[in-house]
Amino acid sequence: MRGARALRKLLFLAPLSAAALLAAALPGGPGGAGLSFAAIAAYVRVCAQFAGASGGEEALLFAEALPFLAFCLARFARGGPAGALLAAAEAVAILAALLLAEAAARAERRPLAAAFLFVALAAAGGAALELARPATLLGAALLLALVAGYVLARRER
Amino acid sequence: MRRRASLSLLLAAGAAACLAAGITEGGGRLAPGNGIELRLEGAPLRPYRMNRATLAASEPIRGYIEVRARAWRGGEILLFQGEEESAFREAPIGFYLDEDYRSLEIAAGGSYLELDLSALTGLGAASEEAELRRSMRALHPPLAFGGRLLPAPSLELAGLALPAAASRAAAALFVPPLPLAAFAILAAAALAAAIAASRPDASKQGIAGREGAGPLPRLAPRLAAYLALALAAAALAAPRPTLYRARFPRSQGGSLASGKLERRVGPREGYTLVEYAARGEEAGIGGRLEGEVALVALAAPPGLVPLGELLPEGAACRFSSPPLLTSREGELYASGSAGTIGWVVDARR
Repeated sequence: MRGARALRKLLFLAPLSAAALLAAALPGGPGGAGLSFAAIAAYVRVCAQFAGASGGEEALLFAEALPFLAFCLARFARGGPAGALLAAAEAVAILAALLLAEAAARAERRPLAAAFLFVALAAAGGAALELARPATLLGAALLLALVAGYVLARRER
Repeated sequence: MRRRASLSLLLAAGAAACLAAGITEGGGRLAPGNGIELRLEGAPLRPYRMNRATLAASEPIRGYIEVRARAWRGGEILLFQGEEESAFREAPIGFYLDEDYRSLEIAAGGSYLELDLSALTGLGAASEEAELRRSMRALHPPLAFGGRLLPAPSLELAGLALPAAASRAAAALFVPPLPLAAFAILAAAALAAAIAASRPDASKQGIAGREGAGPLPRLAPRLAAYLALALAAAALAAPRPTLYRARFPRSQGGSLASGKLERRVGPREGYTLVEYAARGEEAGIGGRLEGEVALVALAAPPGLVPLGELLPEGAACRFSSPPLLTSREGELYASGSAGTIGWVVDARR
């Protein structure tokens, strides 16, 4: 049983490993980082949907995928290691904001609609990674996370 | 009737004269700006070369310097970009030129200079230069490089024509070293996730792991660990600026001599040199190109690869997408992306 759980986890990570290998082979160019972000975020969200994971479990799934996502972003980032770290920070901020917003919107009541919305917003986040300035993107993501966190905190009370 | 024809002829001649004067004066004259005149000084500009010159201003200026070429087929290409923080009257600049370019536009500190390059192109040069241009025109660089995970360790040359060897080199040889440390981080992350999922208190079903359910403080250490792994993977996976070089021996009768090029990788200050050369090359990795034809490619952000490392001074070159040059403390540096690939021919061959 333990082995089966570990195997399922490795199966979940296998497409992410393939994405990392693909990113290592492809020549860098515009669009790669945004596409990687959108594809990986959509994949993890769909996996979470099938696994019935929400809240903390869903956050944990995204955290497990984060090193693979950061690797892909780094391969397409400009500006060396500093640019790669900045891209990873932007991706973390967008994902955190999306997960908090999903929780604040009580998305578990309509899981399928929430999954579709999440994938659409992840695609928009990928485009923003390519087009928006890092400061603007980080600011917007943090603002969304703050608002969602405030809503969640009020509900807890 | 005759009077009207004479008047038309006179007007046409006047218009032609004005047009000719405008074109002639356009070469090197100041365009409207802030009243400061720009001049380009130094060696004559030559196509298929990395031209080095001095940009001189009639009064001290500061700020951005940009050199763009306008192609005969339309469109602009940025060739040089620099910024001078202190006011200057003279600044060293450099840029690639070939016969695809019709004119050069230089912008510096709010002033503009436009140079007509049409007189530089064609075969109307001294015979040696005309011969060089003819041979460079026939050397078409491969369009792009990369797209493989593992590079070929060597390239067999026997019987290959130079263009075919170049295409193979671009596709199979110009591949960056694998980010092994970053792959190790990914393997560690996957192992950690699998071990955590197989723990006795782990989930009873699904890939999510029910142990994840619970308050955030309980999850925080694991989230932080994955975040740290992600940042480490990002820092180690970032592509290092790389200069690729395949040094081909002299061709004999259209085909390359037998032998093969072998891969050598050498770290340099701020970038990595990946070079393919014939076995027993005396110059060793990074040695100066002498009497050779080399295919070079550059994947580096601005300001990292000295121009002298890309090609020796005075060497002829032809790029499909030229490297962007920049100046730092009087030295010229080159940068490029996956499309920056071209030929370098030592002029003394």
